[in-house]
Amino acid sequence: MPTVKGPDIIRDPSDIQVLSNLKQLVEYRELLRTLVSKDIRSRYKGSILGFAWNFAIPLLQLLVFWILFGIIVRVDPPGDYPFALFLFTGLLPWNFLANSMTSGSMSIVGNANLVKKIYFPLQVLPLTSVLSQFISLLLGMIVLGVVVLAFGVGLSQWLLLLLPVFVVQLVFTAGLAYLFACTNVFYRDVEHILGIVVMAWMYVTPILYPISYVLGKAAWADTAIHLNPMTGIITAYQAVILDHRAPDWPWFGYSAAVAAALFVIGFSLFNRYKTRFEEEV
Amino acid sequence: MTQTSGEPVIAIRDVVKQYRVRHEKGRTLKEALLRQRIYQETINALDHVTFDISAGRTLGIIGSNGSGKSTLLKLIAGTSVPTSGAVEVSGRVSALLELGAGFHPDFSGRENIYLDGAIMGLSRQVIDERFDDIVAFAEMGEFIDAPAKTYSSGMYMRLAFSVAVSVDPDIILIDEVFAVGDESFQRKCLDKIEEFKSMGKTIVFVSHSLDAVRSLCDEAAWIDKGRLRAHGATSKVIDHYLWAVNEMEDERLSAEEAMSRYQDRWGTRRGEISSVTIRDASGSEKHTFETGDGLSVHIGYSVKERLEEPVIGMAIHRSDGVLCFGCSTRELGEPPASVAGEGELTFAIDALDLLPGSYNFSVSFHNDADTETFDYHDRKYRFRVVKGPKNNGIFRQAHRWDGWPAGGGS
Repeated sequence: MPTVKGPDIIRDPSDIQVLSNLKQLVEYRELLRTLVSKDIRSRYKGSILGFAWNFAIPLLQLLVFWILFGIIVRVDPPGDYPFALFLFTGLLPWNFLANSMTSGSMSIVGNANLVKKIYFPLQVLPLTSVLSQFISLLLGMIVLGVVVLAFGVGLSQWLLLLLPVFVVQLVFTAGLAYLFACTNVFYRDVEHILGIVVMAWMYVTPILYPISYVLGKAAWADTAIHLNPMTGIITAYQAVILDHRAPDWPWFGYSAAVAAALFVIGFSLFNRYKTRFEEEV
Repeated sequence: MTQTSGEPVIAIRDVVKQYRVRHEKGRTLKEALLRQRIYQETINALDHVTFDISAGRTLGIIGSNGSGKSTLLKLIAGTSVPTSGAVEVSGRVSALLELGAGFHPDFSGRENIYLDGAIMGLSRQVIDERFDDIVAFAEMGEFIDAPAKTYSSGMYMRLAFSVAVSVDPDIILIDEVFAVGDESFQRKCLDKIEEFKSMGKTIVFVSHSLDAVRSLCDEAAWIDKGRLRAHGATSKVIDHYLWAVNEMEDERLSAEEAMSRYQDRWGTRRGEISSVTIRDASGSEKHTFETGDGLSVHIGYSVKERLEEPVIGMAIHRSDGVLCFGCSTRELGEPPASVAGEGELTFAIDALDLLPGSYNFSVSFHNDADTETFDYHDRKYRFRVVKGPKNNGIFRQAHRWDGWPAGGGS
């Protein structure tokens, strides 16, 4: 047989290695880009505000927090800024995670037509969901930046550390998206359970309350809250953006390690079973 | 790039594809945990299929619905992997399995070309280059900037087909794309396929239209219940297939006839038509014929008391109700003064002049004065003409053409 030409005909079922599957993602980056842009542009298609919704939604969210926690129930902020701002800083990256998990878990099941009929590396689909939500996070960050300046919190060189924080959260989120996209194909229960899990998970992550509320009360509680890998990530956002200091390195490092491991597990599992998706969706 | 012709570009090696058929889609967590399976069985969509397709050949895959044709295409396209065995494909594949799968209804035709093109593996730069051709081939005109949801289904298919063929593949898989679209679009698709053929591309074509397979394909493969029944020269495989389909049709028609035996029948029953069988020239019972075949209808009758001046008549209706032919024993002259007891007569056609279609026989038993119908079997007996000359209408009119120059040659 002549050698296989073109990237579209790699279909050895034993091909489950992470690296070669990652390579396919790179080869199909153009498709990835097109799908992400489609996803973002179709989200508010047909509405009057259109793309501006990407800014309007975080802004309105912030406004609600502001009224709720700044005027109605006065909650003391952990630092020199309004509590609404603290809440917003944690909630933006959390929304990125939560939305990516829900849309990522649907990325195979919801694209049955493509999965069944067109050959392309399926690992493009969950990543599309994640990247499209990531763009939303970045747009929300712009809003946050403007508000942070408006409240006189100011910017600092620590903001450069946002880059590794983004990377770690992106890897972590992608790992979960692959995991749930795959398991949801075989067990449709996943998509229903996720909503509850995400909600419960949010309450054990220091988003609605500063981590200082928990720390120092009991040794087991200190460890427990840090074992949640999202703690290291969310507190890193809060530290870098609001407190102008470095993240808590050991715990952020722990989050990064969990993110990497989770990605390898989720991505491998996905690629291990992707040839069976076509039969199940 | 084109390959040297003759070299196999698709090799299907002992391929088995099993699907699990479940009562309900998706296993719930409870079932998984308790290892319950409410209802599950596996079916072999493909069962040890082996064959090669050489570069530059056009292969038609035929077979009844659910025989595994589409599964085979999906395996070649790579959207599905075999349960066992191997599918080796060399070259760039474009699968026209699902047109417009990547389309988004809210986006304009222009945006959808880029979207669908990207899913089919085209780079932005390549789409830029081919954009005008795609639009021209799809005959989109100014609609190209309108949202796809405003398109007629014909426009939608044209655009999708146009993107799919712009991929410039080495191997093209086509699954009943022609079932949609109007005559001119179908014509266009066929022209495009001819063009691909002349460029030496390898084409795998699944169709229920045997005429299309006959005119386009160099070879054909017949898949029946997941097995490869025949593979070889197109006309040989199609004839083999038709023979088998006719056999099955025959069984079905005689089963239907048995079902309807005591319906559509009236009369005083003083004289009964006790049996009607349709036979071919060799005398065996048959329900499918070709134009020009010999056919005979054997009519058995039984009369309890003596009947005066009886007549037996018959009629052939086409399935849409058109009376094609009718006659009776009256044309033999004066009726017999009377009949009694049992007897059989034969209505024989030396060469059937009816053109392909479904037909029904009626047989009647009545008196010459038409005042009493003893027994009437109204369109109870079915037969089908499955093959005939390239004429239109109901019957083959004896005819001749004069004065037209002879064709062929140079």
